[in-house]
Amino acid sequence: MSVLELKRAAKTFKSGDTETQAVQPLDLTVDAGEFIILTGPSGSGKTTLLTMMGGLLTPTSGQILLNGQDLGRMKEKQLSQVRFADYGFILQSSNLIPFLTVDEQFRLVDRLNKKSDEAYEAELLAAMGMAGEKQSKPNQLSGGQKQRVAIARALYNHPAVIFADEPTAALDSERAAQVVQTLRDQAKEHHVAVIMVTHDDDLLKAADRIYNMVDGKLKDVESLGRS
Amino acid sequence: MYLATHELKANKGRYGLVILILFLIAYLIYFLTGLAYGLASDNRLAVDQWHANRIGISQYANSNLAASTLGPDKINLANLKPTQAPLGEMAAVVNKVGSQKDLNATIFGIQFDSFIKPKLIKGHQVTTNHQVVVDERLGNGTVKVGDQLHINGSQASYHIVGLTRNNLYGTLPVVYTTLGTYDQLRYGSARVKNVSGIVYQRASDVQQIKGIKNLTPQALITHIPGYSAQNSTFSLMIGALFIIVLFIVGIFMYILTLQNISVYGIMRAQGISNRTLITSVLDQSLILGVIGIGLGLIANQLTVLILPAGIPYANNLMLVALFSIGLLAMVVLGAIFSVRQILKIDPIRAIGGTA
Ligand SMILES: Nc1ncnc2c1ncn2[C@@H]1O[C@H](COP(=O)(O)OP(=O)(O)OP(=O)(O)O)[C@@H](O)[C@H]1O
Ligand SMILES: [Mg+2]
Repeated sequence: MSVLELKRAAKTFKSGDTETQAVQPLDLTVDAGEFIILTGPSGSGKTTLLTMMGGLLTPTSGQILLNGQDLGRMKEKQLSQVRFADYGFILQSSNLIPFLTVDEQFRLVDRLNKKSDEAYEAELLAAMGMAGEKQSKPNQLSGGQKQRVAIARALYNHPAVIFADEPTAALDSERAAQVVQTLRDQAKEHHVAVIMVTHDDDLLKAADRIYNMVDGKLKDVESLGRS
Repeated sequence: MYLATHELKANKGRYGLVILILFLIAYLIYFLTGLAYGLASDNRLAVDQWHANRIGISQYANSNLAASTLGPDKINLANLKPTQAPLGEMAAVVNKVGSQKDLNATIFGIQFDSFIKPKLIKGHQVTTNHQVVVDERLGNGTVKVGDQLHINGSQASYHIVGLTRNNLYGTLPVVYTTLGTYDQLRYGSARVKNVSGIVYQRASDVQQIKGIKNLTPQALITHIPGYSAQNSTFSLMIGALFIIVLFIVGIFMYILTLQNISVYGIMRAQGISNRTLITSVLDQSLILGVIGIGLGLIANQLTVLILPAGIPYANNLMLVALFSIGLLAMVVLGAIFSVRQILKIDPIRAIGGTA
């Protein structure tokens, strides 16, 4: 069953006379619970693609369907609702708000959700090995710890898809592998699709499918036939 | 509020600086306001006490009471009701008998049975030409009932028979004398029957007399030499401070927002709506404003407690309330500059981690 479907989705940036075709029209189907890795050289359009799928950028042409709903037809208010309820983000420097403690990151979600699930928070943090850091601020955590909390935070809202743009760029290779493994385990357990961008070839083995992006085109689909 | 307060707490240093600046400016504004209002009051208190409807003065006086002279051909003192009060005004220097210290004062020559006779806090009203009633602030409160005064170096001395409060005109304490004494002092003889103007209590008391222009009390006060100049100077200063607040808060919030742009990017990616983000910034500015301006007001009121009596400071609740709201509005308005920044965050930079 597919959660996310791209139909001829493309993005062109215009600045003055120059046009950059950051993402060529492409088709992509993401199944529920699938772990997809996107690789490719710098400037090839990976972040642009992720940002479009993430509902932060409207495609210049084509469609992006989340559970059959076209993101391109949504207003910013609906899009932010989608990002809040259906998506999770893990960014390079974590997706944590620097002035909130680990616990408060979850409370902020609660306030916007008008409901609280501290048991689930505790479960997620425990699964990430971060149960003891509830009162820490992000700057008191190591890079790996931050990303673990970020994963827990991304999962907290029961998203359909988690987007991760180079989530391990700031980590050494051992820690990077651990974090990605945990992300994969948790995503599988909660049946959440993950689309992760990485430059680190050692991490590719976590993927169900790998896409290589070059010059805005999704090339060289490697189906590893796993999962 | 949740985001706003948590961010403020996490960045006490930076936001403390904004509060400090707001505090200093608010303090200055409140202080200037009190001074301006005090000075304005000191010009007009005596006039305000009349609760008069109109004041008639010579049409050639350019609305300036001090420049007006009305002879008996204009105002016949014998024909007036108590609600039509003749008034002689002049500047004077008085000395307590036995003292060389010159005290500046305004002389009001009046009829003590007219409605503009002063309210006394001590003693009795004037009954003869050699008696006066003076404002308690004459000589900074050193005069008493029973003291005697020389006026403008007069040989004659005048007995203080009564004290009155808040009777100032042109910032000077008023010395109330009879019209006879006034004409003696100003024109050299009590047989001269000149006055400066005539004060009408009610609209029905007002007379239209050729050569006399009837002014409202406000118009009379506005034309006290220096009054308008003082007020517009203060107004300009206070107005400029308001603009400065707008810019300072605008610039500070702008810089702080720029420094936080990656955080706003994260929050936006997480699906926190623009409305929540904007509300957070405005809440922040409101909190900073209330603290800074509140501290300014408290410090101002504490300063007033230790202010020397000679400084013409007066609180006006309405002005304080008005300026507090105005300042707060400037603070929030300044923060609105930053809203644009938040709205045009580049999502690619936010996601790509290069913001
Ligand atoms: N707002 C923008 N305006 C114009 N061009 C842009 C904009 N954002 C991105 N681009 C261009 O789009 C192309 C793709 O950028 P993108 O950030 O998606 O690449 P990337 O694959 O994520 O690269 P990296 O691996 O370095 O993160 C680049 O040529 C970039 O310069
Ligand atoms: Mg990128």
